Amino acid sequence: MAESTNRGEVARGLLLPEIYERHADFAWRTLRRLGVSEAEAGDAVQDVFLVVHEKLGQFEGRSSMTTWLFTICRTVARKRRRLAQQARARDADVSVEDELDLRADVARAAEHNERLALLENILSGFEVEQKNVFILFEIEKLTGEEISEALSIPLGTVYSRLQLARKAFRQALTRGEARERFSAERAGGAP
Amino acid sequence: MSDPKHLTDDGADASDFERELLGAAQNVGLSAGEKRAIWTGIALQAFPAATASAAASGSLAPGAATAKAGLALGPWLKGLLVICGLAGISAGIYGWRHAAASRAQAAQVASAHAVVVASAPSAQVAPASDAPPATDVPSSAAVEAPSSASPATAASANQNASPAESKSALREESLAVLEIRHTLRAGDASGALGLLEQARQRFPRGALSQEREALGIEALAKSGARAAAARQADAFLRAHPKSPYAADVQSFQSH
Repeated sequence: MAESTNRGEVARGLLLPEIYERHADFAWRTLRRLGVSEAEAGDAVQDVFLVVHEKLGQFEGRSSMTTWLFTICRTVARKRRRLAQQARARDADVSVEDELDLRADVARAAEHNERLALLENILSGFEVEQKNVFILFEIEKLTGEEISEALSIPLGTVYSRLQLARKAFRQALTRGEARERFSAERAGGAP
Repeated sequence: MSDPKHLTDDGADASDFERELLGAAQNVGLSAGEKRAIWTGIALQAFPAATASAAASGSLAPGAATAKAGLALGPWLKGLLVICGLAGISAGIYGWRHAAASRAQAAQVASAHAVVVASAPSAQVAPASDAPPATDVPSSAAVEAPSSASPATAASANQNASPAESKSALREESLAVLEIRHTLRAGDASGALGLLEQARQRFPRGALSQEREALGIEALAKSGARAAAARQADAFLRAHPKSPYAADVQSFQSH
């Protein structure tokens, strides 16, 4: 589950097993959304928490745990994307941009498949900047400040991107609902 | 400026459908099995890393290094035990990275495990270091264990070991402490005390000695030797007032 955590949560007592227990899913989702393949995601999660283990002493709650984890995930994902790109130099599909997307989520969750597929479909039409903010705010439930820090953008920019993304989200849903009504009427009208 | 409500929060201005869509993506995650397996991989690698860094910073006094490593690793082992289960460690070890390396580590862990179980002191030796002697301790478990095995592997555990040796020594020590904890949690307090004696001899200045002694105090109390447990708890807290195990140990002090 998305768990947003407060500043300073990392008191001295918070240790690797607890952090892992709470945030492993977040790390996994984030890595997958940043383009790490399913096959590599386990290794990548491991990389992330080994960095946490190594740096925990220096961390001491300077940012929220989620923000910190996000930045580690981004570094790990970049490294893996770069390696994947080198390995498959001809593959034009490997992105070097930090773009979150939900294709991995769709592949994952059988029981939510339809809704996730729809959500992914809607978000895939967003501007990358808006989509990143929207996913972190509405799905991972980070705070505006956490997102500002994680993405290195001013808080005001977080809010304006969020507002635009929400508007786009609602418009897409309205269009989707209109299309559904339309096809339902057609289906009803032409037996 | 303050944040708007998240659309999936209670009271947010969002339709049920919007909530459902976003909620679907919030529930995506690792299966319990995957989570465990990844953790095992992390645990196996973070262990030696922790020892190496403690050993590398030669400026630290031995006592300080011990306390530091104990702080970093102690509650960690709890996590390892809770998440993996001791049986999982020896039987189903499975790291994500480099299958071969994992297999090698698994073999090491398994053999360390075997050493802990098999080797027993042939004579009762007074506990080393700062722990007060436990005179009224029933130690039947130590007597039951085979007394032929050699404690040789442990001798290399100390100061002059190479980094590789000290990594593996820490792994063995951590397994020994896990074994004590496991035995104690399984309700066998005297068995735990027997294992504790062995661990004291094998790792007299081990990085995990605080965790070990804290477990020993608990084992004493549970074996019925409450007075001895209280004395040891007092001594422990005098020696390590800021130990991460202080809170556990306090509950065994006499009131």
